[in-house]
Amino acid sequence: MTEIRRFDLAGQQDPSAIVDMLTDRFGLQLLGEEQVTRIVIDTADNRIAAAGGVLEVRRSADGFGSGSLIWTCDGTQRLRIRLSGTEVPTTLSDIGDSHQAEELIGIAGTRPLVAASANRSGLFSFGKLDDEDKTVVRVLLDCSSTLDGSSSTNTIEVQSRRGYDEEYRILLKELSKRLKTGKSLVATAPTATAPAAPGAGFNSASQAWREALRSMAEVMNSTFTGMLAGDDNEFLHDFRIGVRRTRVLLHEAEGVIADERRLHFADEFKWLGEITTPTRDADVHLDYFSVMAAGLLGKAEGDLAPLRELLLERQVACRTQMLADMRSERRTRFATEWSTFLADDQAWSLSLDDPLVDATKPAFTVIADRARTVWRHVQHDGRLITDESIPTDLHDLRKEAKRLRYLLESFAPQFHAKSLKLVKKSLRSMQDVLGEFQDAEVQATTLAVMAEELVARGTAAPTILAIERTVEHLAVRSLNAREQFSARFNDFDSRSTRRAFKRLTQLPESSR
Amino acid sequence: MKVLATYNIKGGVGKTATAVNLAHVAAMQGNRVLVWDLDPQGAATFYFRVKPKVKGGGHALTSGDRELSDAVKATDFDNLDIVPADFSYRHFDSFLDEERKPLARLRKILDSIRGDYDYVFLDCAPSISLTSESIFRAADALLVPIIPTPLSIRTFDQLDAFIDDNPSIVRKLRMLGFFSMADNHKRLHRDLLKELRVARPDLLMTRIPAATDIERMGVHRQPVTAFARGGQSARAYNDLWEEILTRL
Repeated sequence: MTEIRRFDLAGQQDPSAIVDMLTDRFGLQLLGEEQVTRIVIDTADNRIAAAGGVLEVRRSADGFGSGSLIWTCDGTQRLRIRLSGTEVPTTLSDIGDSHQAEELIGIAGTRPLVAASANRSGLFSFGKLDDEDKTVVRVLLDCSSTLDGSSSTNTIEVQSRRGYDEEYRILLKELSKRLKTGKSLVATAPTATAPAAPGAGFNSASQAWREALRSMAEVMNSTFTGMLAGDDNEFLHDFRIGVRRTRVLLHEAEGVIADERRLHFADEFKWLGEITTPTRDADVHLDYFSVMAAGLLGKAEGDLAPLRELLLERQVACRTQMLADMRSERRTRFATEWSTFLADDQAWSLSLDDPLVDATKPAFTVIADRARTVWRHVQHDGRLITDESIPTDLHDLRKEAKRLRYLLESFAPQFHAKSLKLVKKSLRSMQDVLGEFQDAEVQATTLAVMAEELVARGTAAPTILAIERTVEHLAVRSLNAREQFSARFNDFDSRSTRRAFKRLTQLPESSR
Repeated sequence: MKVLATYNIKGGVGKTATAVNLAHVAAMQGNRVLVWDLDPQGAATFYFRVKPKVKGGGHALTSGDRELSDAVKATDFDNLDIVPADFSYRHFDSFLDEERKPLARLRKILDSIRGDYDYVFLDCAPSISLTSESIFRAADALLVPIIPTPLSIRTFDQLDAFIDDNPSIVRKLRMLGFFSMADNHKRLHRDLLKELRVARPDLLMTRIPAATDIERMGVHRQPVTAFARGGQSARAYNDLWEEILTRL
């Protein structure tokens, strides 16, 4: 896997001087350069960044051409698509159906994309070549400035190449020495930063939790207005994910945040979840109705019209109640209280004699410890699932699995990226079938209740029969998901995934 | 992960050029690709400017003393890695023969990297041996370059017959033959191509021309799809890859 180290250099330095220094002093070969404008885009909750990637629109700085959409992950370009127009894409709907496009869509889904940053860059690529003229270490110099030119940064990114670790270490050592002494360049940080290195990032658990909670608060804030407007139900979905992740973080923050506050906040977020659930459920039922009407039931589409009316009626009623709750004094007061808490340095300040046992500990130690505990729960509960297990058991396992995934994703920069990817892939695969099972069960129960209501209203028999057929179809989906569970769980519980998880939660020797 | 082996009993038919260029095309599309240069001559390794050396040699890989992933080297291209050739591969048959299930061994070794790559290209040495048979077991498809000459066609038919006659060795394998080094200036090539298009509809439609830029891969030490990407040869490899994808 590619390891990446970045050196942030003081701005305002002449890029050509840096280029000369890299070629003359470090023997690097300049392989290419380009002047571009770059617009980094991501979902409101930064899913692409959380998965260790960057999605950007890159155009030639002279303004010619429509540019390319580039997805880079772990220092490797995974996808490059020539854009047909000059607009920045707002969704991933037009990126094709290649394996990589599907992978990216798997991360960001159909969520709206927003611009996270924009700058103008001079990109210089260098290689440390061996005696076969093969690049054994890759170095990128990014001389960026904001579009209005008000500030600039120069960053050197050193990328290892697989199979050439020794060469990478040697160059890194030389560069670190030079940048530390500041002989010809001044590093803004005393040492190189390593965003992808396990255990790197924040100093204490308290800081790590604060950053993770802040990031979730940003997600909720950025989706709040859209959620109230109701034009796109993905806003509500994203808002709820923000709420759920925050709840997991608070649940796992024992010993990091004082219990009195933590439990109070946890209650309030639980309430936020509860007041949004009926509307989300109504949205999901309507979405599912569209799927049914689109062909699952063929000729029965017209028969389902009364059901659609009932679903819409429900959705309007739920939304009205949710909007009232969202505008209530309790919600407004809590929003202020929460943002004040996150912004209050005093509330997060630490001392060595702090009664909070984990707050001052290194972040990675605490996070890894919590992840191990949740992992054990998932493993334990999963191993108990049999063909006879009741749906609640599978639902409980699904909740535990979500808890683990949220925890891993919230602190993703702390973990070894490749191991994280492996673990998440296996976890997600298991969650998919658990989700499919749960969705089918819930839909079937809801439809059965609605059928009863429609009978009470005197709705014609064809509608009820069409609903029954849908419930039968859902039973098949549920059964299929259940049959797939064992294979997916076995993969999650396999030796290779366990080994990846162990690597994930172990500090590298160099950091111990 | 799909395993594709560029193979022919005959040498000098364009196996390595096929493996190197198709791997590059697949990687440029964003797929994670590995080339394993199984030919002790190490031409694919040379094209990618990698040193032809595997720590512990081929024996360490077949015996399991060394993981295949530990032998992987990045090439200069994104998403494209290589397991370099090693001169010890000339004894690959005997290395496999030491193992309990020699035919299944290569597949087992490849299983260890199954999640890491979308496509693995095995660039094979020209022969028919225990190594070839274990490649037939491990691969999903054989990419067989055929020079449009009667002798090459005969060799392809021999291979085809071997695969049909040995279901105990070959369990699932697609034979994807295509014309390579086709020279329009040669009447024999023109006539045979015309004739075989009708007689052998199972062969792929795309043909790789006999071209100087493919020969120049050794000078540039790069795939032709990298240093002459707009040229006729690069276009042919792109078309070939697209056609192969429809058959996988």
